[in-house]
Amino acid sequence: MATYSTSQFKPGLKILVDGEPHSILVNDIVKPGKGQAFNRIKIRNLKNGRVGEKTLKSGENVEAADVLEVELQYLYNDGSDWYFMDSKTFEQVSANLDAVGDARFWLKGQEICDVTLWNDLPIVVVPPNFVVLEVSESDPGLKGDTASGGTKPAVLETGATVKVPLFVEQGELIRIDTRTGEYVSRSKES
Amino acid sequence: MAYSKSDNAKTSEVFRRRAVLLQKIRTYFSSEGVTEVNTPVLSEFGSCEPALKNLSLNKGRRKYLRTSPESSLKQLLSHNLGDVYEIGPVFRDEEIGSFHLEEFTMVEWYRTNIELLALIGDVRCLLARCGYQDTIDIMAYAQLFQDASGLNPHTCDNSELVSCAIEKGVDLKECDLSDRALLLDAVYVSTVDPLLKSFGPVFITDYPKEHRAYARLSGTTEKVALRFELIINGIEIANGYDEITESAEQKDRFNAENRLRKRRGIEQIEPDAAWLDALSSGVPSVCGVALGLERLEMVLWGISDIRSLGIKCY
Repeated sequence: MATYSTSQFKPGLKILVDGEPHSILVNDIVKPGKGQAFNRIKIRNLKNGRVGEKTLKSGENVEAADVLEVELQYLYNDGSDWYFMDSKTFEQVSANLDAVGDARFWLKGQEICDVTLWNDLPIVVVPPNFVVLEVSESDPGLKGDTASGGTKPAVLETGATVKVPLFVEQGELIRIDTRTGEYVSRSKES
Repeated sequence: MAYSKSDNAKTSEVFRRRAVLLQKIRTYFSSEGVTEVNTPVLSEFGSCEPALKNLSLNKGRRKYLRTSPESSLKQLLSHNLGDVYEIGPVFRDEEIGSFHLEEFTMVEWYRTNIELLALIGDVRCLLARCGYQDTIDIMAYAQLFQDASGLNPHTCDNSELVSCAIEKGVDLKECDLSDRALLLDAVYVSTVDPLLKSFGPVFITDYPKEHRAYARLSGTTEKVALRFELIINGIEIANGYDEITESAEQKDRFNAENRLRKRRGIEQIEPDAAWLDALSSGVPSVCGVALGLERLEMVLWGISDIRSLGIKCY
C-alpha cells in the first residue's frame, strides 16, 4: 500500500482518511514554540464533496488514495449502472447511482464526462458544462410570447425536469447549463 | 498561506533592508551595554529538545550544526562577560515551509540579574527600535488555553486532553495517550493556534511545566515555567526563559528530554557536557531570549513566505 509522509503533503494530494478518498485543499504546518509539530489539513471527501479538517503529528504516514481523473465517454445505462468508455483504450467501466449522482439527469449518450476513479472504479461523474436535450413533455406555450419572462416546467428526454420559457415547445432541443440545472437557450442541433 | 510573488520582496531589496535592520539591532544592544559575540556553528553536542531535529555532519567524528547558540553563550556567561548577544545562523532539520527554514538567523541574547518581565520590556524596546510600533499584550498560557478549549492546562486530566483533541480532529496514536506534553500541544494546535492569527501581538507567559524546556519553575502548588513566547500574526517571533543556572537541574532536563525522545521512538542525544560544565563553574542569574530574524522581517515588511527572504531556493 502506497503511503505519503506528512512532509509530502500539498494541495491536491489524494489520501485515505477514515477509509475514504480525500483531496488535500490546504496544508498548514503548525509548531508550538517548544512543542511537537503538526500538519493541520483541510480536506475534501472526493465521494461526497464534504470539507473537513484533520490534524496529524508531523512525520506520520497516511495511506495514499489511488485516485485518477479521466475523461470518459458515456455509453448507456441498464437501469442500475451507467457505463462509460475510455475512447483511446475502449475499456469500459460501470458507475453506480452514488457515483453518477445528478449527472444522470443530463446524460443521454456520447457525452464526454470528467470521471474520478478510485481503485479503478468511478466515484464522481461530472457531465459537460453544457448539454443539448430534447423536450419530451411540456404544456403548450403562449403563441408569440417571446419576452414576457414567464416559465413553465418541461420534462426532458433524460427524465429531468427544468424550467423553460413559455415559448419552448415539446420536441424542441434546448441547451442546459449542468452546473446550475438551468435552461440557457433553444438549440438547433444536438 | 498562499505564496504569491507580488507580496514578497525582491532579493536586492531584502538584503538592503536587512543590512539596515541589523544595524538597528546592533545599535540598540550597544546602547544597552550588551556585548556582541560570535560562537562556533559546529558542536560536539546536539540538542536534546524532543521537538527539534539536529542536522549533523558525519565525516570522521560526528559534529552537529547548532540549533541555537545557547550552549556557547552560557559558556561565555560563566566567563563573566556580562550581558551578551549573538546574531548568526542556526539549523533545524526538516523545518521547511512558509514560516520555516532549515537554516535561519537567530538573534539571541542574555541579560544577567533581571526578571523575565524586564526581559519582555527589553524585547519591546528592541522591536520599537526596529520600527515595530504596535502595543504587545501579555497573556498567560492557561488563560488562552482555557478560553479556547475549556480546559485548565495545569490541572486537567490527560483523558480530558485526549477527548478534546479527538473532537477537534487530531489523529492520536495509542502511545500518544499518556504523553502529556504532546497532548497539550495537540489541544493547543487545534484550539488556541487557530485563534492566534486573529489576536493582536501577544507575549504568552507561564507555560505548563511539561513545556518548561530550560526555564526555571515558579509557584508553590501549581508550578508554571518562567517562559514566554512572542506571537505576532499567529506566528512565534521570539522565545524567552528565566534560565536554569544549576548544573544538576539542567542535567535532569536533558535526561527527561531523552526519556521523552525514547518514548517517542526518536534518537537520543548525548547531553551537552560543555553546557553542564559551564553551569557547574558558575553562571549568574540570567534571562535569555532567542528571536528569529527572518520571522521579524516577515512582520516588519509584510512578507507571507519566509523562503523569499534569502538567496536559496527551497
